Amino acid sequence: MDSVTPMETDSGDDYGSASPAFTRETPGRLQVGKQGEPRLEVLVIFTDAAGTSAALQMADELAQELEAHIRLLVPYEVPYALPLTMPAVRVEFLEGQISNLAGKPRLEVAAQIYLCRDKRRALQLLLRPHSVIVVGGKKRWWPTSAQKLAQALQKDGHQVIFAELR
Amino acid sequence: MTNARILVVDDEPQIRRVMRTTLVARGYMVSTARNGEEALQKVRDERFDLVLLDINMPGIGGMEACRIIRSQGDIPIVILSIRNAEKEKVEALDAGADDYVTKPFSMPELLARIRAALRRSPLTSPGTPDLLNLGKTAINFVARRVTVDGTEVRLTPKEFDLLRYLASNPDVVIPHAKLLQAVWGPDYGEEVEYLRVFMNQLRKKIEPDPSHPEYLLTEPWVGYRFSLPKKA
Repeated sequence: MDSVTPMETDSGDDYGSASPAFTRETPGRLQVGKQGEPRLEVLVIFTDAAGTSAALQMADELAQELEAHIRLLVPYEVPYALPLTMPAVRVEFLEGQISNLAGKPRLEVAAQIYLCRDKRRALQLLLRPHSVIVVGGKKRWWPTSAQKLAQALQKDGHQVIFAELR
Repeated sequence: MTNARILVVDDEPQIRRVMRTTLVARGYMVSTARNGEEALQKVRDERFDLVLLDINMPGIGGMEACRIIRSQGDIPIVILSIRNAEKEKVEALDAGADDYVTKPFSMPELLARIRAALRRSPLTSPGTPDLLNLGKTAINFVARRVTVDGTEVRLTPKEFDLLRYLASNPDVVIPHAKLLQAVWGPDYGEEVEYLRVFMNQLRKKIEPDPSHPEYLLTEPWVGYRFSLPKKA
């Protein structure tokens, strides 16, 4: 993760938009296959530090076997009381947290932080149909937020793998 | 049978070198391990079609390694040993070995025993055809190449292993757990979502219409089935 690039904010509908305020990624990570097809992408959605770490490990294994690359999406909800580009937690802090997670050896990850009002809606706008997604977290009889997120993404038609944190 | 992956486990570097050279020349893919511990690690991390295992090694030794490998899966194990006593052979076979070869052995005999053991291996069974034509899709299992409409399609090693296993069991429903263990190894069995992702990728690559698959069929709640095209 080398650069922080401000992106245009979708100002039309502040309520539901993905509003990607910042994107942070490793340049040149997206590779193109032999036949001009973009390389498959395994997406990891940030849940919490431990869950995301488990998800990244699983994504790494999967990406190697599928010859894909990994992208970590961090949809961060900003309360309405604050401007969208001014989250309660400094973006630099979020970046540091993500750098620690994605900076493990051997792991090649392009990470992107999206400041949004509604995480679910943001993901709907961000994700391409039938994406391969890894969500990490604890599994409980009463669904955890990570489980709920995985279920919702599956409902949206994505291929979701749950990396269970034991 | 070419393309089979063989793990040679021996503490003597010369033997490992000779085996590697001979087996690679016969078209096998060879990996080596210096002792039982390294062999167990490799069996856990990679998929092999056969293990050639020396009995006398430092550390946990061949017999114990054989027991552990057998407890984790069905990989054929051929024991190599300088001991020719009946007791040793019985012990090795009871520990899960499929065959027992006494050193010194002739290479043609060992190769014949490898071929015989591989015939019992699920991933290299004779049921796997060398070439398979599925309409516009042609699969060459020996060369590990897939073409669609004459254009080569790149399959990852894991995708190819999965396809090969399914194709070697045509029109048979293979449960998720069996498929995962055969292709990913003994530590797997519950990762149904994994399979789903790989099957989707395979369908995208070989099916004419991935949303309505003709060859790679899902058997809901059970597993997958490879359906051969019906002859007119």
